[in-house]
Amino acid sequence: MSEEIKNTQENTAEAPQIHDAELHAVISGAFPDVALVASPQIATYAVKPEKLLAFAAFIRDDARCGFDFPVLVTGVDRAPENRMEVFYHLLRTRDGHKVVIKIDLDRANPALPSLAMLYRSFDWHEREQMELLGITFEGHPDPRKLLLDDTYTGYPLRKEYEDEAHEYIKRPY
Amino acid sequence: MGIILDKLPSVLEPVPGGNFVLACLDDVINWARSNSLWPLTFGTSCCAIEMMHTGCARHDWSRFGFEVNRASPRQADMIVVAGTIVYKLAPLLKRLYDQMPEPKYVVAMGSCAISGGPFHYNSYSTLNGVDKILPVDVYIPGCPPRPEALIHGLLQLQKKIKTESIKDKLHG
Repeated sequence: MSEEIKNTQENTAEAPQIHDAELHAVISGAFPDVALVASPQIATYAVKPEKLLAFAAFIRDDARCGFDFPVLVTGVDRAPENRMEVFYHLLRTRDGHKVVIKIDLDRANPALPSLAMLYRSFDWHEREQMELLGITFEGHPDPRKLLLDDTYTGYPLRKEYEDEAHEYIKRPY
Repeated sequence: MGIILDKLPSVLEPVPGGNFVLACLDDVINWARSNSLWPLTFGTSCCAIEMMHTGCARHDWSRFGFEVNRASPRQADMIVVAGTIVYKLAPLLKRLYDQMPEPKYVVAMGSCAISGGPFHYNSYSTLNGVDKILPVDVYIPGCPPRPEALIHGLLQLQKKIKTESIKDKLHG
């Protein structure tokens, strides 16, 4: 790897690239403490859990943002760093622009407000994250299990997961 | 059918020549049963696609008497477990099986229904083989099996049915 390429890569890692200057101006004007995170493809904003509802309501209802289409919710278990992350992907149907909301959570007590009443399609997505990673979505309208059976204990996508209720055969190799 | 199947064997067996009559009855009953096996409409993944293919015009399992897929377990004679069974679905599958009238048969189609297949190890949600909850008559390996394999398995099931006797119930 040449020195020049290495430098540019380090630069992009340090300074987040602004994908949509107009949108970035609107969001940073309304929420000065919301930080843009470096990401190669989609504009990603790191939001604190307590600001999440206000932020999501703003970028859905503000005419300059207008993100009206919920795409997906992802949860990530960063066990070595002792934290969890939740990503909300949103899209606006008028021009197809996307935005990602990233929430950092404490691994001991991962809780954040539910967006299911703002975006109804997030209902099932949040239920999936609830049962697989044990993230609490406060104020969720229907917090039952979605894909797993009701006898399930534990959160199978956490790194330290051991199944006690079911036949769970580990690979012998 | 209740009188013939439940009462007749115990009446005829002690009578001289009664076993001959029962054997002839067996032939007729097994012929009727094995050539008119109605499957339950049940499929959970890619094996179900092959099963639909088997039922359609090119392979056409009606040629062997698997006429119509019944949407109700009350009208079905057998269930082809075509696909992965997860713990969430297992109680529902068991209930479907319990609702089917006797005699009923189970065919485990494909790796997932036999042993969990590719999800056998390190899976938090997959039932490792449908024989954990249902009595399976025929196993058809493959991932998924071709329609020819499914038809072969169903012909094996017919062969098995032809070896049954109405006396089996009498002697437990």
